[in-house]
Order: sequence, then C-alpha cells, then structure tokens
Amino acid sequence: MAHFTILDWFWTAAFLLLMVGGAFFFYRLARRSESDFFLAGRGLPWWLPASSVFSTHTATDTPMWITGVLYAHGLRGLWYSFFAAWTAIGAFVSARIFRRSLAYTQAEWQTLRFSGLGAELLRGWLAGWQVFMNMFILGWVGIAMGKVGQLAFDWPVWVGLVIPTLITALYTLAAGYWGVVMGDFLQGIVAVFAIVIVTVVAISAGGGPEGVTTRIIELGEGWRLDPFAFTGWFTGDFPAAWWLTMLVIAVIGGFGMGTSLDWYVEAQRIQSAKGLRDATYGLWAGGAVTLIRNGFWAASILAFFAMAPGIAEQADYELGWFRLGFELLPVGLAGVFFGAILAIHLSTISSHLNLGALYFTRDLYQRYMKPDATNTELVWMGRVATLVLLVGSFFYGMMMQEITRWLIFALWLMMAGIWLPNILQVTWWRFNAWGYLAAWMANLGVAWLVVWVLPAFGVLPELPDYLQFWLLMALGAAVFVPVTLLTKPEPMDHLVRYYVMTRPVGNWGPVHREAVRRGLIEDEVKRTGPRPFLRRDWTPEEADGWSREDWLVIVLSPVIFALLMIGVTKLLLLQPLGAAMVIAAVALTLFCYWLIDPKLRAVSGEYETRQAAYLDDLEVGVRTIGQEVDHG
Amino acid sequence: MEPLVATQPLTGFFWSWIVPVLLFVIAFGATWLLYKRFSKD
Repeated sequence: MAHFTILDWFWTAAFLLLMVGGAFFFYRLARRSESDFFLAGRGLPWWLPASSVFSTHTATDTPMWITGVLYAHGLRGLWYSFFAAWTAIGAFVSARIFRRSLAYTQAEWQTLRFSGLGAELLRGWLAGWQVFMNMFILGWVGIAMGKVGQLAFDWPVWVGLVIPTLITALYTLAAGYWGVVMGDFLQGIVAVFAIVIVTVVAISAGGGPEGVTTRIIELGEGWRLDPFAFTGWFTGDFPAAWWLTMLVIAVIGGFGMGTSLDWYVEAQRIQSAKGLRDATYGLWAGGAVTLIRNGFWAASILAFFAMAPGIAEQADYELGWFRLGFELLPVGLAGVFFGAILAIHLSTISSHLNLGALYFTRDLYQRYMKPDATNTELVWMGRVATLVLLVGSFFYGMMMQEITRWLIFALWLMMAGIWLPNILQVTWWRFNAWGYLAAWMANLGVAWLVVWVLPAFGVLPELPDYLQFWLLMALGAAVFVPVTLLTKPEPMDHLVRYYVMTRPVGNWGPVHREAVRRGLIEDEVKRTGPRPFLRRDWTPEEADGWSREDWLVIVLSPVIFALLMIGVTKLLLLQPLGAAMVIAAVALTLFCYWLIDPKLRAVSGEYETRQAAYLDDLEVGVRTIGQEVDHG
Repeated sequence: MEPLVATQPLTGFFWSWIVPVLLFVIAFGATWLLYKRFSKD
C-alpha cells in the first residue's frame, strides 16, 4: 500500500524521535512522588487533560473502525462514534464529583462512596478487572498496529506488536503520567495535522465539495448524505430504536461513573487537572475536539466513497483512510502521515501502560500489600507494574486471534447490565455496596442467559444488541434493587463525609439534611432580594449546590456536541445548514461559558483551599487499612 | 486495487520539505515551552 522513500523514513523517524525524546524528558518531574508519577501532581491546566482526552479517544484501530462505519453507512455512521458524547454531561456532573473525591482511580472512589467489606470487595474487583482490561486493550491495539505494518510495509505482525510498545515503554517507565500527558499533547498536534490535511486533499481529489456530493447522488446513494437515514423503527440496518438507545447510553451516561469504558481512562485525566473548573473544561473540550475530528474523518471517507464506491469487503474498505494518506500525500508528507499513525498508537499504549500500573500500584500494592510504602517505593512499584503490563500485553496480543469474539462479548456484558447501577451509585444515596456488587454478579449471569443460553433453547429470540441492552437493564434491576433495599444503607457518618466532600447530584435528601443538622454545610443560603433568572455572582457555599444554571448547561451540552459533529461534515462538503449548525454550536458554547464559568470559578477556588486537608486525610486512610479513621 | 487518482495532487519542495519542517518546529517548540513552564514549579 505504501511506497516509502528515504525522505519519508527520515520524517517518520524525526517525529518519532521528537515524541519519545520530548516525553522522556519529563522524568525529572515524575520521580518526585506517587501523585506525580500517576497524576502529574494534580496540577495541569485544562488544555493538557483536554488534549489527552482527545488522544485517548483516538486509538490505533479507531481510523479503521470509523472508516468502516462511515463507508458502510454514510453520514449516519457518525452516530456510531457519538458514544464519546458521554463527556457532554459528564464534564459538568461526574467529572466535578470525581475530582472533588480526590480518588486516584474509580476503584478507590468505591471505598469513599461505600464502606466496610463490601467497598473493599468492590475496590479489589475493579482494580483487578482494570489491570486485566488494560493488558487486554494493549494486546488489542498492538495487534492492530501489527496488521497496519503488515498491510503498509509487509512487515511480520510481531514487528508492529512489539517494537512500538517497547519504544513507548521507554518514556512511560521513566516519566509516568507526566510523559503520557506531554506525549499526548505532542501526538495530538501531529495527529490533528494529518487528519485535517488528508481531509482537505481527499475532498479536493474527489472533485471538490460539489464534485463529491454530485458523484454520490449520481451513484444513486444520496441517502449517504443524510445523518437521519433511518431504515424503520425496528427494521433494516439503521433502525431508529438503535439510535434512541445510543442517545440514552451516551448522553444520560454522563450522570454516572463507568457508563462508558473510556471513563476509567478519563478519570485519571479528570483527577490530574488542577481544579474543578479545569477538570470540567478539560473533559468537555477533549470530547468536543474528538467529535469535530469525527466530522473531518466523515468528510474524507465520503470523498473516498465517491472515488472508490464498489468495495464489498469490510477488511478492504476500512483501510480507506490509510489509503487516502499513503496514496494522495507526496513524498515526505507520507512519512509525516505514518508518523501520525505511530503517534496515535504510542499515545494509546502509554495511556494504558500507566493506567494499568496505577490500579496495580495504588489499589492492590499500596492498599493491601504495603500500606506504609514511601513515595520512592511507590514510583518504583509503578515502574515494575508498567513492565508487568507490557509483558502481559504481548501474551494477549499473541492469542488475540482466538479470543476476540469471546472478549468482545465480555466487554459488552460489562457495559450493558452495569450501566444503570453506574449512574445510581452517583445519584442515589440509598444504593449500597451490596446492591452494586449484586448488580455486577447478576450482570454476568443474566447476560450469559440472554445472549447465549436462552436463544439456543428457543426460549428467547436472538435479539439485536439495542434490545438486549434494555432487557439486561430490567433483569439486572430485578436483582440489585431488592438486594439494596433488603440490606442496610451505608453508615450515615460515611455518607455525610462523602456528601460534604463531593456534593453529588440526584437523590441525596436524607444525607443533605443530616449534614445540615451537624452544621457541616449550610442549607439553602438565604439572600435578600429576588433571584435573577440566570445568576452569575456566586458565593462558594451557594456554588456548591446544583441550580438551574447547571441544568441548562447539562441540557445544551449534548446538543452542542451533535451540532458540531454533523455540522463540521456538512460544512466541509458545503451542504445546506452546515455553516448554520457550526455557528449555532459556537454561539451556544459561548452562552454556556458565560453562564457557568462564574459558578465554576467560585466552587473551584474555594475547594482548592480545602483540598490539602482532604488529601492528608485521604493518605492517612490509605495507610491505616482495617482501622476506622476518625474523620472529625 | 485501482489507484485512487492518476497523479498525486501535492508535489514539490513546499509539500515535501517546508510543511514537514514547519510542523516539526511547532511540535518541538511546544515541547520546549511545556518543559520550561512545568519544570520551574
């Protein structure tokens, strides 16, 4: 597929060296403490987590699967990538709550929200699962890179699996999360450049925006330009019921933690931001740039379709974006393009190496094996864990061919039946550790029955995935709701401490009243004079709560994301409404910023003054396992 | 596979050298500024 010259290899090597060397240099900052090695000392301004959120939403196989759905579906295929829109509401809800909890990982958060044996079981389970998941993802993307190397340059598959991972390990071992986030920023620059230039060149080669759309209509494929080309409510390749289910999973998922598999990665980015405001803007901007990027990709794939409409095999047409880059870019730039593919791969590898090592070090080693470990020991343990992840990923990569079908099924299981409990743990005070554990266990059993066993015996028809989602949700709830109500709520002391620290959204009335009774927070803060319809001056105490300003932004945010994604593609192809959609998205974004920024500044500034005391308390809690800590 | 286009659209010194050099300088400069900013904390 690619015919490289010396000049191409020169540019590939130059960018590879810059990315690895640039990230490696941050080792001086990473070796200072556990917090530096895994969270960059919680000191990053919003645009660094934002570029990392974008980079982690861009994995090695992303160009292939996005090209696949866009070539098969046309513009409506963009909705398959809209699962990233959990960041729309997540930025304003779960990111704020998680950042306030100060947990390093989702596993650690379980012990702040829940208590006792149930919470420790959840923490151990989630940490072990995430160590395994990160190894699996590393093997998965490693094999994807191996196949790219094989297709483009006829390299054996092991070359792409092993060599880039070893190169990435150099800076991930030395510089930890500092290296990951700086590498992501650099790789973001190179990847965005490649995506934009390939899109422009592809549209131009396809005969310009009008040439591309005219050709698609001439082919009798005009429906490909319609993002709402439904094939019926429940029938065909693109039923409206699938679209509505996707919207619920993606958009409402922003109220929970773990409703998307990306949450576990992005939680680390949220916690590395220097405050609540930076955590919110970081996740929001990262999600927005990801969806704008998908709009650029869609335009280039529609141009590819106009040039090469008759490709029948998925394995062939999903290489469309790679073909555009290697065939249309001149000598030199093609080398930069391969540098961008490597950049995307390196950032994926480094993120998962560091995240897996974080779960291993913080939630397994420090929590259960050596609670009094020093910072030096923890940084070294982080490096050992990175190596363990690296070796484990090679084993997964080598057996990936045989186990893919089963693991995809296992992943689907993890997300479908556990989606609702992941929201309830954030929004419902009465939900307890035993209810959440029961949800995980019920999920494993019920999914097995619904997907495999009952259809095999003819008890259930084989349902499409979007109907399985609703059935799994209902069957899971039939187990975890009774378990929750038949067991005791978490102890009020524990809940009050969590509530005052994180101020969660949703049904927390009894805990709120108890916190007020203890004098820890003020109830509705009284003000003289009428309240303006949209308030923009806040005291920190007022800004701690949830108000109509929050809800307005929560409603508008997913609308902005949809307008951006579809609008960018239509604008690039000069379709009607393209410019109007992009202008509307920008105007709504400015309005949301005008409305919510004063509130975020008030709550963020005040929280930072309390953060140091909370952190001391948290560390004492980690180091005194098995003893109840007096939280005062 | 049929090639997508008969002739490559972008050619010459500008696309093979100037554009990659500019991108490299931007990326290198960004790294240097980031390191300068965060290493003085």
